[in-house]
Amino acid sequence: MDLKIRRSGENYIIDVNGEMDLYNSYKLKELVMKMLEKKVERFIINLENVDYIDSSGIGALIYICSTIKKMGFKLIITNIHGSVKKVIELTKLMGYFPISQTIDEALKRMEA
Amino acid sequence: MRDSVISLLSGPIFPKLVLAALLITVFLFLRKRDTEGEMVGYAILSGLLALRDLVFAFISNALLADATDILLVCGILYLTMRPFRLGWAFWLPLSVDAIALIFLALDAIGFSFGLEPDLCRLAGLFPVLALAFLPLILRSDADTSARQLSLRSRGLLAIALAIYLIGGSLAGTESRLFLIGASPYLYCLLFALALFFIDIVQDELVSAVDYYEESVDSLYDLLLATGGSMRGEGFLQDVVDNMVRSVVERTGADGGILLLADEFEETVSVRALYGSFPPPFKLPENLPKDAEHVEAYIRHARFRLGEGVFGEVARTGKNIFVSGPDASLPDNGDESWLKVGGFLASPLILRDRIIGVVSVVKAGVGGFSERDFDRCKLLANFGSIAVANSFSFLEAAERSDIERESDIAALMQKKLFPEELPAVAGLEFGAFSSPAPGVCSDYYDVIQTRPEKALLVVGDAAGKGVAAGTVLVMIRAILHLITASTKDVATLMQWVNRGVSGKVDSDNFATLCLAAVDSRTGVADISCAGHQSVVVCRSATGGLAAVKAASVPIGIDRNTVYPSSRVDLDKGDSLVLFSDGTVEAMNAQGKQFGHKRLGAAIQSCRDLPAQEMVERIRSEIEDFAGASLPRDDRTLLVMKRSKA
Repeated sequence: MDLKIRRSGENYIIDVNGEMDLYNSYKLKELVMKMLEKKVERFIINLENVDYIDSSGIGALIYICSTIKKMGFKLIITNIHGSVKKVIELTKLMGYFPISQTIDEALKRMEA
Repeated sequence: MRDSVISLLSGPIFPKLVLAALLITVFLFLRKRDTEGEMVGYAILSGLLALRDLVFAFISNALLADATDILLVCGILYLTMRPFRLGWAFWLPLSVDAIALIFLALDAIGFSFGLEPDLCRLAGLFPVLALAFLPLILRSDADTSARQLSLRSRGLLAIALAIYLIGGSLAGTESRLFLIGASPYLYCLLFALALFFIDIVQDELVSAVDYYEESVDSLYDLLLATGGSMRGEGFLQDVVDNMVRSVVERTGADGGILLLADEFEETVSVRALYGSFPPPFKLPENLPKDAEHVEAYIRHARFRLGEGVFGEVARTGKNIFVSGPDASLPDNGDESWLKVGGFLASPLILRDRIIGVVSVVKAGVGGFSERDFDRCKLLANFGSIAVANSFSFLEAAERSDIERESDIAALMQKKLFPEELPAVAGLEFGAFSSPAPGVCSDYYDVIQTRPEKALLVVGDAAGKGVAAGTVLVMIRAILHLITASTKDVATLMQWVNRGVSGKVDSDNFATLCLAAVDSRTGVADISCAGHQSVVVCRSATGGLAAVKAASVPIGIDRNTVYPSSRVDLDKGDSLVLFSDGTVEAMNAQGKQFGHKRLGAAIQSCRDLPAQEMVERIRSEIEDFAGASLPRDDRTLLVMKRSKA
């Protein structure tokens, strides 16, 4: 899994590339925690290039989501598709995560 | 004609020409070692000398002898002094000689000024004097082989040429002594110059070997310093500390820093500081100019890629070489310890990726040589490998921690599984669970709740190792405690969820599937929490049905309400519970085993006893996955309603 950060105004977009599984989901968690330390308040996690996720990946997303919610900051997850979508649906967490179809939509929601 | 050629060859001119040819060969041979073209100059000079001898064999003239002597002496001195770019000190003596040549030329066409031609040749002494006092008028170092040659041969040349000019003047250029001795004398002198040059080339070779030996030494030191520290805590810090110390010592610098690229960010940060390091970047105006504050500032300095010298090196990967005090360096005040003398910076590059920068400085008016710069680049290259090695070592250490933890987790998991499956009249059970190395996050159980009832359990905790194991231990304990109640599976699920939620981190949730079966009626109540569906296989028809219900996993939301489904099982029908590792078992081509293959496998062995069904399905999965290592635990639990 490979993580890249880009910035759009106040928003930090994290592009996740590859598989989010047991062996690397912690990287995303660590990255977000680091960014929180640096006072980043608006996150967009882009899963466009993620084709596989397991329970640890879901776990990492839940952890990130609940931490950001607790701190009162904003998070949107975008481009959930394919088997990732199936897994999230199976665990009935589509409602739990703040989700947008695209990054543009997420950016608009951030400003709202 | 033939006779005149024979007399020429048998006369004294022939050995002179051979000598000149040899000299030209020697100079042309040495040309390869010479970077400034001096040797070609001397070869031409030797050729001119031979030409003069050839002319003198036919014509003997005092005027011509003096004029060509002045020209030859000027030629030698021109070649000797040219490498130093002396300016007027170079051109003034040569112009005196030019005037002397004009006098001689006027004399030749009849305008005599009463000057003896043999006295005019003494004008050649002016450049000889300049050569004798060369060290006094030098403005540059003797850092090339041509300059070395001039300096070493200066004494001999000055004396020999002075003797030649004065001797010629005293004896007269038409005297027999001069005619016989002059050209061998000059040939010998040129030959001596060639020997001097060979000596210099030899010295350069020795010094190059010394330099490389020292480079090898410095590399050995560096590897010892950076490799020896690869143990214990904080060794990455040791590696960078030792590396910057090594570079400082081997370049003779006063201090140095090492910066590493920051992960996920476009910046480099100072990670090590050694010695006294006057910063080659601008310090903030309001920073107190005392050693303590400046050092603290440098230690915590961070540069965006492209920002300042270090950001530039980190972005472009170019080396920076400032040999001595330079106006381009920032002025951080009048304090002498803040003045930057020489300054070197080299990128740390590994497989085309810039991982950091190492930089050394000389304080005050000190400076660096090209060799120091080369040394800095060399150590940076090898140091990059040491730094990268320590990154790999860190990863390996982390991995070994994980492996140790996973051993503990594997033990925990083993204790979770039932030692033997209970015997419930009318029901058969079969189960397998093969943990993936380092994962150990699956759990299965069969709990006899009444003589005729059993509760089937398959769970999968998110994450791995001890953290996952702990959640499973909690779930198992709660289940064994509450199954004595007469509540339905959905309520049991809610109780488990309440018991776990809030007690574990939200990313340590678990999916769980419960199926309560009554052996007499064949009724199975099924409830799932974010888990894979349960497969029902009809014995009579081979029909398959998946009982699925999307629901929130255990441990996320305390108030989750779980649904349940009811299935009626006939005799011979089976119920299959499994974890996601089973259907996601992957082969070398990256294909998953999948629900379809699992369904087909169940169908094909539905008439076998439960444990044999499990074994058959297991071997199908293993055959499919081949040698690929399992990424997740695979667990399968089969319950079959006995036919009899």
